[in-house]
Amino acid sequence: MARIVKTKIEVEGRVYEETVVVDGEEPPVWEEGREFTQVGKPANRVDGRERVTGAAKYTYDVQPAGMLYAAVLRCPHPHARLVSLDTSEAEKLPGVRAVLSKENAPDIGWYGGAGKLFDEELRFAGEEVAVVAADDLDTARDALKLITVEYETLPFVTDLEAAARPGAPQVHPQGNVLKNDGEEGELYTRGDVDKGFKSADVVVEATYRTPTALHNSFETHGAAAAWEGDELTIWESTQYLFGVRGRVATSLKVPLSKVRVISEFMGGGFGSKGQTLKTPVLTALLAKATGRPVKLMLNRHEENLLTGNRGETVQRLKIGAKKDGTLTAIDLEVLYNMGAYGMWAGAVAGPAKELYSCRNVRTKTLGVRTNLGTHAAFRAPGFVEGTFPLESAVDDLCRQLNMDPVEFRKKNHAEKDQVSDSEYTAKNLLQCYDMALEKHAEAGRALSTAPVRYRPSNLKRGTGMASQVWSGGGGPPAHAIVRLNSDGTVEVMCATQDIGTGVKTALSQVVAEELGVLLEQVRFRLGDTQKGPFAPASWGSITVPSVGPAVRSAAQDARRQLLDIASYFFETPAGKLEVKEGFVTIEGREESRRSIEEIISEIGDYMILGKGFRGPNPTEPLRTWGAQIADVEVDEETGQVRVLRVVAVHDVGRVLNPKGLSSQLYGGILQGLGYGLTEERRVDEHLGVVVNANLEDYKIPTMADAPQMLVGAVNLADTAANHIGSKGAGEPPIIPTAAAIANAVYDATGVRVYELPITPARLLEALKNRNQTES
Amino acid sequence: MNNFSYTKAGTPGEAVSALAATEGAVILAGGTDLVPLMKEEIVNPSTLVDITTWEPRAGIESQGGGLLIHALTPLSALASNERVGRDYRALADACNLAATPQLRNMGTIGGNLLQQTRCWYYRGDQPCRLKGGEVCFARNGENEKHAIFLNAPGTSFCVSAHPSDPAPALLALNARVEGEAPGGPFDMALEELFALPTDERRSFTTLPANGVITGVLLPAPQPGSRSLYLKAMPRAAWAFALASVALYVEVEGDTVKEARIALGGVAPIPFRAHRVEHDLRGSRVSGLDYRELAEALTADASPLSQNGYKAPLLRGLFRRALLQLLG
Repeated sequence: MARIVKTKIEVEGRVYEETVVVDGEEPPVWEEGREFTQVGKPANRVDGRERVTGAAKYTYDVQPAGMLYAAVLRCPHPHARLVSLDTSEAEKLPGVRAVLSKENAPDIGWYGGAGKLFDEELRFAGEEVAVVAADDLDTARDALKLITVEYETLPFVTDLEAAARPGAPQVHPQGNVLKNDGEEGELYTRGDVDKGFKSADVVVEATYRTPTALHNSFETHGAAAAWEGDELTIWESTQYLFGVRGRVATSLKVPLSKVRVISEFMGGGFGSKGQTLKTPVLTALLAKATGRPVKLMLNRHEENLLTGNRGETVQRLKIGAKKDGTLTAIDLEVLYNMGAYGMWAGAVAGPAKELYSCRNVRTKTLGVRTNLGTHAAFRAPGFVEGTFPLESAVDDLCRQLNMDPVEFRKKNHAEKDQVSDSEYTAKNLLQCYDMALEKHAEAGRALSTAPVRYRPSNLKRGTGMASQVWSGGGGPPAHAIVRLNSDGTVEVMCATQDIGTGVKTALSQVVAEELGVLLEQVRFRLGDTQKGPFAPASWGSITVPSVGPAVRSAAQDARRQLLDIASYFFETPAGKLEVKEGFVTIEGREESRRSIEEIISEIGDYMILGKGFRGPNPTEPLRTWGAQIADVEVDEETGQVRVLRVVAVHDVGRVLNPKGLSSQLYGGILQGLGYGLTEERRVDEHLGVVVNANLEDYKIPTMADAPQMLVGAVNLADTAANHIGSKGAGEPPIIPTAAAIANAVYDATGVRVYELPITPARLLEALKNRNQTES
Repeated sequence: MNNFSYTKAGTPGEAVSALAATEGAVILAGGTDLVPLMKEEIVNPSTLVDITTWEPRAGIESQGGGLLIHALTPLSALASNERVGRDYRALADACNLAATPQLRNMGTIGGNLLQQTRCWYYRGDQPCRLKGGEVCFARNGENEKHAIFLNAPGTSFCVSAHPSDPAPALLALNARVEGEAPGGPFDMALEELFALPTDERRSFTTLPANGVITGVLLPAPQPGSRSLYLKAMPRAAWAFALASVALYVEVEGDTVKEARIALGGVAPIPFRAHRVEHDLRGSRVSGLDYRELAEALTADASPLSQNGYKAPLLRGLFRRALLQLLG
C-alpha cells in the first residue's frame, strides 16, 4: 500500500518540505473472460514509424565520433594449428590502427574453456586468427591480406555420422560425442519399449534427416565499443543485453557496472543472438588499444559460417500402435551436429517424449562435434527437428490403420505431462485441432497460383497436418520500473529487448491496461542495461510471460501511487478512484475527471516510480500447443512443391496483441516452409568448407513462395501460468510447418521423403523409386 | 574490393581502344555480375570501362524484318516489349523469369550473355581451374546444381551449369550477336559465342580479345512460328535455373517445319539439342511421342554424384514445352 508522507529534506544547507511515496503490492490474476480496454486489441507496432522511416538506430547504424572499422582474418581450414603469424606488414599499412592476434591479445578462454578468443588450434573454417582496426573498412580488409600465416593442417571431420563413429578425427581431445555423467548421449526411458512394440499391431520404422539451417537474420551480428575512462559502452545486436555485459566484463576483468550494453533495435536474432560472440570483446580490446571507438559488423558470409545454426540431425525412429490407434511405443535415436564447440544438443527428443500419450518411450540423443561452425539455438531448437520425423511416422501409422489423422491425434492426446507425471497449467490442443479443421473447411479449396498455361495434369494436390508442443511460459527474474512523469507521460524502464517480435508493443499494452491510460501515452524504453532493471534474454518465447507480469506489477505499483496521490487532492479515498483513458475519476462521477498531468503537477516536479517484478512460476509444467494444416500442390514432373495454404491455430494463453500474434505466426510458418522445402547448408566434405554461406545458394523463401496463411489462437488465459495469463508465441509457429508440408506431399504423391528440405532433387528421386516399383 | 581506375567510353570503338590500351581493363555495363565479382575479389580489374552512356544506348529496333537489340538494353525492357512478347515469346518469358525486378532493370542483355558461372566453388575461396587453378572442385564435390551434359573430363574441365535465362531463349530463336573488336566489327551466330573453357581460354565465350558486344539480332518472324521458355527453380522467384528449356517451332498444318531446342542450367554453356531438333523437324505433330522425344533429349546426360534429378526434371520441362506449343 503506497502512502504519502510529508517530510523535510535538506539540500545544501536549505530545508524543503517534500512529498514522498513508499512501495506497492502484487497484482491479482487477470481472470479469463475479463473485459479489457487495451489487452487483446489489435495494435500497430508502437515503434513502427521509427522502423519504417529509418529513424530506428540499429547496431549497424551506430557511429560514435572517431570510430574505426574492424575486420577479422579467419582460418580457411576446417582444422589446423597455427604455426606462425606475422602481422608486421599489416601494421605498417597507412590507416591501420591496431592488429590483435594471439601474439598480443590477452589470453581469454571461450566456449566454456574448449577454446580461446585467439586459439592456437583452429577447429573450423572461419575461426578467428587476427583482427584489424583501421580508419575504414577497405583498409582493414586490405590489411588482412598483409598478414602472413602458416598453418599445419590437421585431420578433420564434417560429416555427422562419420564424426560419431569410433576412430573419427577428433575435434577436441575429449572426443566428438558429448558425454553426460561419463556416458555418451542423453538417455530417457519410461515404461518398457520392447514390450510396447510386442503389443503393437503396426510399426513404422525409418531414418529421417534434417538439414543444418542458418538463421540469416536480416541484420548480421556485430558490435561497436567505446571507452570513456574506465567505463565501456557496447552496442550489440543481441537478444541478451545482460549476457553480453557479463561476458564482456568477465573477459576483460572489469566490474559489471562499468559495462553498458545497448541494443534498442535489432534486425532479428532467431536464437543466434542469444549467445555472445567474440565480436564485443574484440571491439572492446581494439577500442582500448586505439583509444577510439571501434565497430565490427559481420558480413553475410561470416554470418552464415560462424554465428550459429540449427544443427543437422539423423534420427532413427520406430513407433508402434494398436489397431484402434493407441500408441504403444516410441523409440528414437538422434545424432545432432553441434559443430566445433557445441556444449549442448538440441532437445530433438522433446516431441517424442511429450507430444502424445504413450506409456513406453525411449530416446537417446547424441550431440556430436564436427569441424564446422558451432550450432546455436534456432527458433524452437530441437523441437522443429524432432517434430518432422514423429509427425511423418504418425502420418504413416494413420494410413496403415486407415485412421483420420486428427482422430488419431485426439485418441493419443496426452492429458498430463508424462515426463514429470503432473498436470499442465493449461492445455487446449484439442481446441487447436477443432479450430484448425474448421478454418480449413471454411476456406474451401486452396487456389492454385500456377498460371493456367503452366498447369498440366500432373500437378497433384495434398493436405497434411502436424501438431506442436513447446514451452514458452517464461518466469522470473524480470524487473521493471514504470514512471509517471509530471508532464503526464508514462515511461516503462526495463532492460529487455525487442528482437523484432513486437514485444515492445504487447508489453506497452499491458502497462496501458494496468495503468488505465491510452497505448500512445506509453513510451517503452528498453535495450539498455543502464536505463532499466534486469530482464532475461529474449529467447525461448519467454519475453512476454516473463517481462509481462513484471511491467504489469510495476504499472500497478505506479497506479496505486497515483491514486494515493490523487486521493489527497480529490479528498476521496483511493478505493473510490479509477483511472480511465489517462484520467483519474471518482467512480461514477465523470465530471470529476482530471488528467494524470494535472494531478502530478500539483506536487511539483514529481515522478511516480512504480517498481515491479516477476513472481515465481507454479510447479506444474507450462506449455504452448498448436496444430497446422498444409495444402500443397506438387509438380510430379519437376519435383517442385508449392505450398498453397497453411492453417495455423496455436494455444499460447491470452493473446495480448492479435496483430502481433498473427505476425509471429506468419513469420514462423514462412521460416518453417523454408526448412521444409528450400533451406540447407551445404558442406564439401573433402575440403571441410561450407559452399553456400550466402543468400544466393542458401535459399530462404521469397514472398512469391508465401502461401495463403490462415492463422488464429485459442486465446484462453493460462491463469495458473502467471497473472497476465499469456505465454510466448515466437517459437511455436515454426515447429509443425515442415512436418505438415511433408505429410501433405505424401498425401499428394504417395511418396514419403525422409529428408528435409524436400527439394526437387529429393522428391524426383523418391518419385523415381515409386514409379519403378509401380512398373 | 581492390582499387581500380575508371573511364567512360562514348562509342564501341572507344571501348575497344580503352580495353586494348590497359592490361586488365574490364567493361562495366549494368554491373549486376561484375560488381559482386569485384567485391569478392574474384575479378580484379585495373580499369573499368563504363559503356553505360555510349552510343547506341539501350533500345530495341526493327532491322531487316527482325529485331536489333542494343547491348545495353535491360532485361526488363525485353520482358515488357510488345513485339518481343508477340514474335519472340521465349525471350520475353526468359527475361521475366530471370533474377528480380531490380536486377532485370539493371542487367543488360549484352552483359547477361557474358556473365560468369554461379558455381559455388568459383564464387567461393577455392582456386578452381576456371580461376586459373588446377582442379574442378565440383566434379567430385557438391555438384547438385551443376552440369549433366558436356561435363566429361575430356570435354570440359569445368562442370558448372550456365546461369543465363535469355541465352537459351536466344539460341532457340536463332539469334546472332554483333560487336566491335580491335580487328573491326564482328558478327556471329550466338551459338558460336558460347564455347567450353580450355586452359588457354578460361571462359565460356569466344568473344574476341578486347572485344565488346554491341547488339543482338533476331531474325524476322516466320509463318507458323511460336516459342517458349520454361524454367525450374528451387523456389518461386530469384533463383537460377535448375534446368531450363527454350523451344521454338514452326508448324504448317500438321507438320513441324522447323524446331530448335536450347537448354540452360544443365551444361557449362547453353546449347542446342540438335539431335532431337532433327527428330522433330519434318515430323507430323499428331504422330509425335513426347515421352520418346524427352528420353532422347537426355540420352546423352551424364549426371554427377548429386544431380541425377536434372535429367527427369529436364524431360518433364521438355514434355511440357511440347505440350504447350504443339498441343
